[in-house]
Amino acid sequence: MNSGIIDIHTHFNNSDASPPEEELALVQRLTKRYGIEKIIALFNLDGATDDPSMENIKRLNSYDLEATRKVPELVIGFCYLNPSHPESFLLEEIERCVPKGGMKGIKLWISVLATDKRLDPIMKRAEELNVPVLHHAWYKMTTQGRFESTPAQIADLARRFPKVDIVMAHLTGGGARGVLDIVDSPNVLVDTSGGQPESEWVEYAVKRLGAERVIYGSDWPIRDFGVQVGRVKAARLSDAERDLIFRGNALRILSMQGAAS
Amino acid sequence: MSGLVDCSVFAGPWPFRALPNRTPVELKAHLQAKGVTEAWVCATEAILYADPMQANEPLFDSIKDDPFFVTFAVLNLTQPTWQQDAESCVEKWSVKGFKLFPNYHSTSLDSEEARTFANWAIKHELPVAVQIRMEDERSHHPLMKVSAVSTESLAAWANEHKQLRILICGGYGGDLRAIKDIPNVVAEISAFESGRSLHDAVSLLGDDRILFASHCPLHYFDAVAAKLDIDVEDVTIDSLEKVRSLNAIRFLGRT
Repeated sequence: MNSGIIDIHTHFNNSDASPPEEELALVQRLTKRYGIEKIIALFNLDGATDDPSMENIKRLNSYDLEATRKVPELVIGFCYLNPSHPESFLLEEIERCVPKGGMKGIKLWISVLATDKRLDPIMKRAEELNVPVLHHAWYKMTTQGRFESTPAQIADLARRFPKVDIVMAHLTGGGARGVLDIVDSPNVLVDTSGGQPESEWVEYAVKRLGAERVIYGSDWPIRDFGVQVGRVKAARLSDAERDLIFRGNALRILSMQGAAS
Repeated sequence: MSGLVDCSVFAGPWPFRALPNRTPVELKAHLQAKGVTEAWVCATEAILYADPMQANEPLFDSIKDDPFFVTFAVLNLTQPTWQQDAESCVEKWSVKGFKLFPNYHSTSLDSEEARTFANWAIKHELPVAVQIRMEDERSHHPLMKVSAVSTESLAAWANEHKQLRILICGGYGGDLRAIKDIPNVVAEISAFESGRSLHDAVSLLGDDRILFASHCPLHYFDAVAAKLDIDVEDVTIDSLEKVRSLNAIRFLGRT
């Protein structure tokens, strides 16, 4: 691999108003240990709810903006949104975080389903800004959250907005059906996070989607950087495929220098 | 650095997805290539076969006299023959322990048969592994949803049988917390994960009660083994040695 790993799916987890030095020092030490050059911070897990208020959204995004300012060489932010909020607020928050704040994408979780039309202004603005949207997804055999999207619903979103790169979170959470749901949605990549490091899923996703549509993500600190990097290192892939998953695909969708043409 | 003992691996096919390295020969080659010096194995099919001995026997025959594998026999305690099967496993194949899958066998650890088994295992000075879960419950086959073993019942069972050496496999953080004050129970780390997995596991139970297991071939070996690839700020070298092999050796009573 030419350079370090880019982790498309991480969180902070702290109740402080801004990232404390200890938390930043820990993430710097651990990422260095496992060869991770950049992390995408999606939102602070502390205080995260399935229906966050506008105030909470602003607080969580401000936390990540502060992290990107304190450790710009490591942290990239994604703007977290609750699509049930007024369109004016959604667009203002995108403006504050992405063009003005330097964030490079948008994160959607479980506030509304991916099929909800209230996502439209967010997706249109993502398209205008040419930034990716990372969306939670899972097929849960326990209890699917009321507004927890399935991979099939992510595929629906992708069909409605075919020019937006969508990262569907949690390869292992969607399993085989999740991969198959997005086969015909070329603007959807799946991240390698989700649950236990079950063998064969990375190879399966590469076989069905191609390595250019599989992207490394850890879900740290719920998960362990070493374990999640280990999934991709352990998978029986070519060096070129592994490079795409660890770095090349992230550079491409984030429009960062060094991206493969 | 000492050898690496993998305290929980499986040989055989798993019906819900394709697995690599599932035969004993493939599994051994795979684990040895990763630096494993000893692996505690049971038969995967024994979890779901009506009679686990139909899977125990061919596995034990195939790896007989191979010192790389330490054999654990799967028992279904709801079956009327479990005790004679257990005795047969000891006498014929010299198994070193037993593995229970209470929820796959529709029983629980507060049952009478679990109590009888515990007393039998204590009498024979044999340890037992209890598989808390095989897979993330959120991702089970829709027609095969199996809850995790209740750690409340496990804790009560372990407290009732303080001479029984118990290894819990596939436990999460909550499961480890449930056994915190029960010294005859140890845990492996194949399914325990946090932002600092081994550091947090050792903080929970102490460095004498954490064992390494990969849950291979259901898990990527390298992914789980990465929990051991840590800085000294997280776990000391001495603690790491215990997790890699010393605790496993002690658990089997070999010290």
